[in-house]
Amino acid sequence: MRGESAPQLVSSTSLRSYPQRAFLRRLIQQKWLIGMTIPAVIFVVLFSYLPMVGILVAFQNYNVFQGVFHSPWVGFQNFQYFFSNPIAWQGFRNTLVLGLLSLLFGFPAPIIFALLLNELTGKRFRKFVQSVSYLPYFISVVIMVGILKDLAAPQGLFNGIAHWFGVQTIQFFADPGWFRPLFVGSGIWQTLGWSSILYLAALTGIDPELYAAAKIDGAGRWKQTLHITLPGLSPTIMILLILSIGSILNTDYQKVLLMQSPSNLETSNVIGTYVYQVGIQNAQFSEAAAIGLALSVVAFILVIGANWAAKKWTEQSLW
Amino acid sequence: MRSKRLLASAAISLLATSAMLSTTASASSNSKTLSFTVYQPYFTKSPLGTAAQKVWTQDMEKYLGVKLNITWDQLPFSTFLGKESTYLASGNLADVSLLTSQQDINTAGNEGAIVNLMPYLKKGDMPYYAKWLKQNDNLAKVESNGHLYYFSNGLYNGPSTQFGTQETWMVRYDIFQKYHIPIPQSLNQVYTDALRLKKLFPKSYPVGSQWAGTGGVINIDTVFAHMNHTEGDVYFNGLKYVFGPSADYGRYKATIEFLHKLYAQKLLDPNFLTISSSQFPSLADSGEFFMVPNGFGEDLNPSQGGSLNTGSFKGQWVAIPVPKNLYGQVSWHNASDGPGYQMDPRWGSVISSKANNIPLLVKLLDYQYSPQIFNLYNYGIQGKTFQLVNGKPQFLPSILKTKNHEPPIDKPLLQKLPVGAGSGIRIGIQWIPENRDAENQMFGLMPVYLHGKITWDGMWSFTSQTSDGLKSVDPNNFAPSLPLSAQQQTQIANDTTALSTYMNEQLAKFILGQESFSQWPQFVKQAESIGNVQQVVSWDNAALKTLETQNHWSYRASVGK
Repeated sequence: MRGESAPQLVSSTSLRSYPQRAFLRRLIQQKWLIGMTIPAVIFVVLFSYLPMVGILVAFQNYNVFQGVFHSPWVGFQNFQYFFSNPIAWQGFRNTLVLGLLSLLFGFPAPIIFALLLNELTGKRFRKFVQSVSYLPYFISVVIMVGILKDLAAPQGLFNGIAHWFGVQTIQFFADPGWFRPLFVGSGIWQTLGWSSILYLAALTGIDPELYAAAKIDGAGRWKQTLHITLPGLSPTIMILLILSIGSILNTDYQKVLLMQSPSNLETSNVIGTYVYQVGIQNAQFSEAAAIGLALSVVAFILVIGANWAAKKWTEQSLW
Repeated sequence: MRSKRLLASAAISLLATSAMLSTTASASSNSKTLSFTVYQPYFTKSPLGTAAQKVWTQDMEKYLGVKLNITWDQLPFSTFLGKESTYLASGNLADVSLLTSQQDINTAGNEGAIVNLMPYLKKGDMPYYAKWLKQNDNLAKVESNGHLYYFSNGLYNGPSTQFGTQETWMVRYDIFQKYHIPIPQSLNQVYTDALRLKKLFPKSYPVGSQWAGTGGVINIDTVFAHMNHTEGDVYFNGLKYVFGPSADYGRYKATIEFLHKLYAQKLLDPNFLTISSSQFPSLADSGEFFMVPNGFGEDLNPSQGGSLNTGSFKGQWVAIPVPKNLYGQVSWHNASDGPGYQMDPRWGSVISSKANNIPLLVKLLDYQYSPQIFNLYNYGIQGKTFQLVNGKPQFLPSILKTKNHEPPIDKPLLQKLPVGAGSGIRIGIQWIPENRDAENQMFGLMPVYLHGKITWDGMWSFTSQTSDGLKSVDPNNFAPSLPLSAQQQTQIANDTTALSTYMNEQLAKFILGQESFSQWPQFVKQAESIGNVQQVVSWDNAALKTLETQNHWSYRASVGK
């Protein structure tokens, strides 16, 4: 009965404050959940939003001793300098190609791997394969490139195999043509298992009754994969694809630096290494910030575009 | 209750007063304690707590008349080098820092972030550093538009090491001797020797490289270019600033053509672009190559942890005199120095403008150039490791070893003390000037080919005695600190990355034969365009002229041209 009489007692002022009170009540109800998000919010504010003030540096001739607020403004001069530089364009092209190749080969690989794992019936063998596939992810990039260099050395395994087939010694790290296959291939090897975790988790969420029904309808394993497993995975696939497209230009510059040599610069000179040289080695912070900002704008457009396309064609999107 | 309050108030007042007094003590030059912070690298091991470091502190306290309270912020040298930009960007300079870029030092100085030492120099408050600055036009190397912002890295080269270097040509002497191949005395002979070795060992690449270089730089190209009196960059040739690839009458192009000739005939080890110093020993021992133009003396000295001539390896790598260049001239030796009191202007200690007791800190850093600290740093503790003979320091006989080919100095003993740049444990505030003669002795002996036979010599003494004096030294090593504007310096730094990336990529292509030498003029034109090279050269030469006019002297005369 209280519920029925309450509206009659509420004044117009109280009516306006009703949603606020409801909001407060919800906050109090969810105080523990909110409390748990606070560290993450603080982290994002401190390390993602506050540093954005640094974007100003891209429009200045920044001087560390004058600081962000006292360095002279130069407008778009740093952007002009960057875009008028042929080496920068080479870096941009290489970054894009490397990102696209990584996406093209690196993105489907863990999906295929997860699907294959899903088909394994031996539980212990499956767990063993999973564990082994995760291990390379925990190897530091320095060690990983070191292993790669040993494998690709003139006396290494790769050349041993090449010699077996009568092919002459290949200078893998000196040949610009081999840089991209080595980079993408080693990336897949290192992240295949780890990246498949999300897909394996998504696979467990698919209703087993669907498979049972499909079997009754006469569907084989391939048909089950095609019509049940893949559609079940598609939301996860789409979200990760959109995020991956956004990070196409975020090449692992540390790995590139480790794999770089003068003779493969034609393909290994990427924006990340260029920014490292400009910003960290030559302390030209303004130019480095301008390049970073330009890349962020491109990445932002790519994410928006990918999300729009995903929404239009698959009806699944991030927002 | 009231008495308790009174007691508490009295205690607080006492604490506040004592805090004020102690603050005053650390801030006043008349105080008993000089407190300050130091940001610098350490090398093999931190010197803190060592006997020599204690003597350094005692000597300093005696000279300054105060107790020292130093807060050390030290990083391993390799880490330290890559952190300068981020350290400066933090905006928090220690009271005393080592900065490793002359451009950073001048920028910090122009902004007033670090102390201008010139007034102290002119007042005579820096007697010891002044002595170093007076020698060999050192002041011109380190001053900036009439300002002096740092205590630079000093080096003393005595008669035995005056033109020495750590880098040396090396050959597999056992192979050369066995097949009666002459030790190369010129680059042309390097080529003919390589051809003979290739015939004898078809799977080998007779000329190898000790390391590929850093930051995408092709090290072997630099070494050969220096030999031919040129560089692949804008540099001071003793007369003026030039861009090597478009100047020097085609010497730079000839250098790259020579390397291509070696590569095309499989005489140059293809690993030269990627080899690391850790990969070098196994390749050197395997017979992959027999001549190395950019070896390090340390590699030849097993007692110093050298990587060659060790274990089950039956051959013998030896150092040889640097062959003459393609034009029959004495080659410039890579990384060599000149005689006497030299200064490396790239880096040095600076004092923050915000530091307390600046005059006392100036006095402290100046004292590091005194004979007392110079000897302590290089020879250790007087009476324990060295003695003065006719005013000159000499290691004590008790720590010298002379039998066979063992190093003449017991390095582990010195490390315990420790002393010297050569021991890898550097006391005090970096940099204290190095004495090359002490380092040469500490290094020990390496096998060398001299006057037609194998003998043993020190690293710097061998490379010095096989040099031809100043003719062997790259004049760029004596380049002055140019009075460029901040805008010019920023522009040059901006262009550097693009130019070096383009140069390295193209040079590798020319050497590997992926680019025809008919494209050389286009390459040079493009490089000049990317690096705004002609503008940089004209700025540099205008600044050089200004410097010479201001100082009423000709810089070229001072480098023996």
